[in-house]
Amino acid sequence: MEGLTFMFMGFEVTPVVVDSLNRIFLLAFTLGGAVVLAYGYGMTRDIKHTLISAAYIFAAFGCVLAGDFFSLLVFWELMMVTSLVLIVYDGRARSFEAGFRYLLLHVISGVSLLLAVIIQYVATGDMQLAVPVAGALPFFMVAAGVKGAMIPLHVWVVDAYSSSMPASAVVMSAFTTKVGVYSVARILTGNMAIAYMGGAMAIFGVTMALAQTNLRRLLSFHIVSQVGYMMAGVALGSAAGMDGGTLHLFNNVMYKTLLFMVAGSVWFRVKSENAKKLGGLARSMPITFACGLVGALSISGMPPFNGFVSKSMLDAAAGAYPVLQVMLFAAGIGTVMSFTKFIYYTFLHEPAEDHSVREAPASLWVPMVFLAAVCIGTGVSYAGLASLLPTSTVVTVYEAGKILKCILVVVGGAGLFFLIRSLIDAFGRWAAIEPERFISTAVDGVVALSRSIMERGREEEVQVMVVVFALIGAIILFW
Amino acid sequence: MTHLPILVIIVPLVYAFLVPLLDLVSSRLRTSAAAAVAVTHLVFSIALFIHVFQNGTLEYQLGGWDSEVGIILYIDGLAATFAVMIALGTALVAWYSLDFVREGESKYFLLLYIASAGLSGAVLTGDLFNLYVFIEIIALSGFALVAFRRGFRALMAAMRYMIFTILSSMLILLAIAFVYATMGTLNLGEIAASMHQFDPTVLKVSAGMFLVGVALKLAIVPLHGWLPATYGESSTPVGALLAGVGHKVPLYILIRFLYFFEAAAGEQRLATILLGIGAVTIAFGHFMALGQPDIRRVLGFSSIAHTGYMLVGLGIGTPFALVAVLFHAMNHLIVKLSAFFSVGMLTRGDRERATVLDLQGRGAASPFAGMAFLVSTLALIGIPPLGAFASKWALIMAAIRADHIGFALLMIAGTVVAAVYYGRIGKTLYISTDDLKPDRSWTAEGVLYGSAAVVCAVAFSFALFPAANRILDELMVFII
Amino acid sequence: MQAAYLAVIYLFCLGLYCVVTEKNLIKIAMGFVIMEAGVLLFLVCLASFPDGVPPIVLEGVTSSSMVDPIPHALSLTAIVIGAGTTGYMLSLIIRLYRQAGTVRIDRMGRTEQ
Repeated sequence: MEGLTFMFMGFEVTPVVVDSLNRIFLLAFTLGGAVVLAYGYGMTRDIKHTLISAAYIFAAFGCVLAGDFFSLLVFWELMMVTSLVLIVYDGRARSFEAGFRYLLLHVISGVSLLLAVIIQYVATGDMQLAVPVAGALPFFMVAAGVKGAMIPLHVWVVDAYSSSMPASAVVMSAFTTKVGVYSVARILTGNMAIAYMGGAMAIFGVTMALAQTNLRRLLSFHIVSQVGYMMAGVALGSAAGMDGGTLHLFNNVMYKTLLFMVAGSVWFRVKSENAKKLGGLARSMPITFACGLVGALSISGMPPFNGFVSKSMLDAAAGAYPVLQVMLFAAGIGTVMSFTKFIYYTFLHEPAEDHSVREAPASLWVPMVFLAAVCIGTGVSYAGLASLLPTSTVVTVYEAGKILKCILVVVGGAGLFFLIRSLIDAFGRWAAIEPERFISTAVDGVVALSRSIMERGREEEVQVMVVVFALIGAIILFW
Repeated sequence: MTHLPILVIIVPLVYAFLVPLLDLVSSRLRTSAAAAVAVTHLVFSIALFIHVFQNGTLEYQLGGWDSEVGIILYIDGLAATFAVMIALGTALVAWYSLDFVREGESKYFLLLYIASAGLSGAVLTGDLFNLYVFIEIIALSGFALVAFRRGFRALMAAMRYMIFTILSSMLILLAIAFVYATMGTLNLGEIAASMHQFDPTVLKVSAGMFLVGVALKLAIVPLHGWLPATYGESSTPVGALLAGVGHKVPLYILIRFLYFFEAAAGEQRLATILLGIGAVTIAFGHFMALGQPDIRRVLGFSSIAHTGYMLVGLGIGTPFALVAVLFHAMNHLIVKLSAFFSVGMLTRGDRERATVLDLQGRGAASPFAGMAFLVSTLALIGIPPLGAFASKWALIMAAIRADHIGFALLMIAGTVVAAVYYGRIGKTLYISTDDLKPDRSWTAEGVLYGSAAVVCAVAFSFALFPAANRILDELMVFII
Repeated sequence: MQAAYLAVIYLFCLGLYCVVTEKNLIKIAMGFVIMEAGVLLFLVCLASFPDGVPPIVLEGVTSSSMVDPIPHALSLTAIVIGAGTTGYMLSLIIRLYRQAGTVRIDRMGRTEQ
């Protein structure tokens, strides 16, 4: 790999590489990073939080710029540590519980990556990024699976992003899973299993999102879905797939961050995230509403917003795999439905309580408006962006057929939502399990087991020790 | 320069005996002398290490009697490395103790420095019985230190520790008697040279007894029963000394006598034993750490697990694995010390119990102590760029190079479990409760120590590995 | 000679039995002393052979007729160590007695909880 190289611990380390694959990631992270730092500071007015966010973003950059496995590993773990601090920053018990579960899953990710890297290095003798050897492949998949929110390793996304403070969630949502996607794009590309997993994630994510009444949980499940799109794209390995997936990532950083910011601004003023309690904010928070609308339309793939471009590209890329195409299409409808829910409940329907609030402060809406502008701008004119994509293929998406299809999807989805609204509510009550509880219960169970063994253990007594001595003696003499 | 080896042992010993006199003059004199002696001890050990690194193995005859009739100190690369580790460890513990010890408690320094002399002597000696004597010195001072200033439970723990340790020492003494009876020499070099001529049954018996005795001191499963109570009930610097530094001496003995066990059991069988017991120890140590109520006991079981890591490394047996084990020993020393000291800071100098429930919210109240604890646990888990990451990397690489993927998996599974139990403690530390007033009033020494520990935890990880590789490859072999 | 080695085994096992089964701490300490004695006897037996003389340089004593002095040195050292250990153990028992009011280990409670 070309790039900055030096020798370290006996192998070659290339921490900084810029090539066709990570250019678009770098742009997405730069724009996203600047915006979330501004927003985060605007919301918390706490420079320490901003500094830690900056460190986290730095680690994300490190992962994407890495040219060798070792640098990737170091920055991977660094991301984990900094994001952990962000999650628990507000000191609430709930944040700490979520942080603990996050730690558990991400340590699994980290050690899997460690093992994978070492197996790779021992097998190939080379630390540079390359296609994994057979022995290392499962561990790479586990590592990327946790970070990239593959089912069933996705539980931390909803857990951490909805339990932590909104400013932290905004920062993290733009980066962690995207690094997971990057690792798939860089190392695990061409893997059809992952591609189909992406399709499954897309559907699963929107289904669960639809069931949520907590806005941030809805958005978090959506992350799983959107990452599914990206995974499907980059795992396909074809030029169209890589381009579609990475462009989708860029767009996603833009509109997903925007949507999290919208939810954050609403929380900032109304102090609530429960869809049932919100409503009617279109009048009192017009800028937030407009930005939310832009974000929702972008994520739904409505032309002329940026989501339309990348979704069309992905649709084309999946052309050879009809099952995948159907999965993504179904997810698309689900996306529209869930965002109709989001916009409707937050801004449009009549509220249960009266919320007389003002618009969000400028420090919050300026970043949002900027992102909204980007969403519109890159939707309308995407050629410049396309030149940064891995294969820089020029794709025409503004064709009548595609436009019509997308508009139909949006309108149809919105209509479907209103049609089966009560069904959705019922589904929501039924599907209201929190998977993260299982993790906590499992951990508590193992701890209790350990404690009971400790209490009944008799290893402290001399008799036991002498018996052990005798046993060992017998083994030594007669073996 | 030529007397460096004996000086390393004598300097702390002399100071220990002078402590009561110095204390008569003024306790500040006693304390500053303690600091000076610790530094001198460390400097001498480093000088010894450099000397051995440049000039090769050093043999020092005590009293001018040559090895036929006398006791010699034999220092090669392995011994010198351990000597530096021990000196560094005891210096750090002494540093922490400067603030810990109050008026009229000068006995503590006496005991600490006798232990220090014993620890250094055990790794520097080349004579089998001399080794036994130093082991006993360490044990005796250890017994007293465990009960130091603590209440009834510490006395009980000390009693149990005594019983276990004396039994193991007796086994070692018996083994030494057997060795002398058959081989007629107590000199380690001559034993190694002439070992193969002897009756394998005798070898087996003596090696077996010796191994069991050492195994108990090393606290590997199933002979670990004394460890949790001892670490849990003693005060922080003592726990640190035992867990960090004291733990390394039986490891050294194990490595030093590997050839002996190999001759007795056969290379294949020894590897199987080491790997098997190591694996069980890793699993057991990490699993039992989950349920412990007291943080120091958690650290104790963590030490047990890490010893398991090192046993597995020894079982793998390649030169790279041996270097990895040594590196891990170094890292573990620093990081364990740092963890114990942060617990000491959290409990405000042991004025409070170290159970997890008692410490709820303490991390938020004493931010510096909490940070120190977090950093040391992250280092113990093995997060880059902190402490144990580099040595875990080395161990896992050693395992995979030798095709022992199962053991590599076990090691990383252990890391995950460690993340769980340290994570639970960290979580409880920080969940804020309202009834704790913020306490930023820890004394200067504690704070300084804490920062030193953190720095060490970071610094050790990468800087040392390339150097260690080179040094140890060149110098290590005693007789294999 | 054989009798001496049998005595070693007997002493060692007796001491071990005391340590393991006794509940009274003082008797446990005694057990250790008895074990210690067995080991010391073993060391001395290693050195001696029939018709050996003490290893003191005198007129007319050849070195080949002396018993081996090294195990004697070892046992002297072991005696000293044993004395120190026993003394320490007894003082610990005294402290325990003062705190717990008993020297019976089964009435003192466990160290956990």
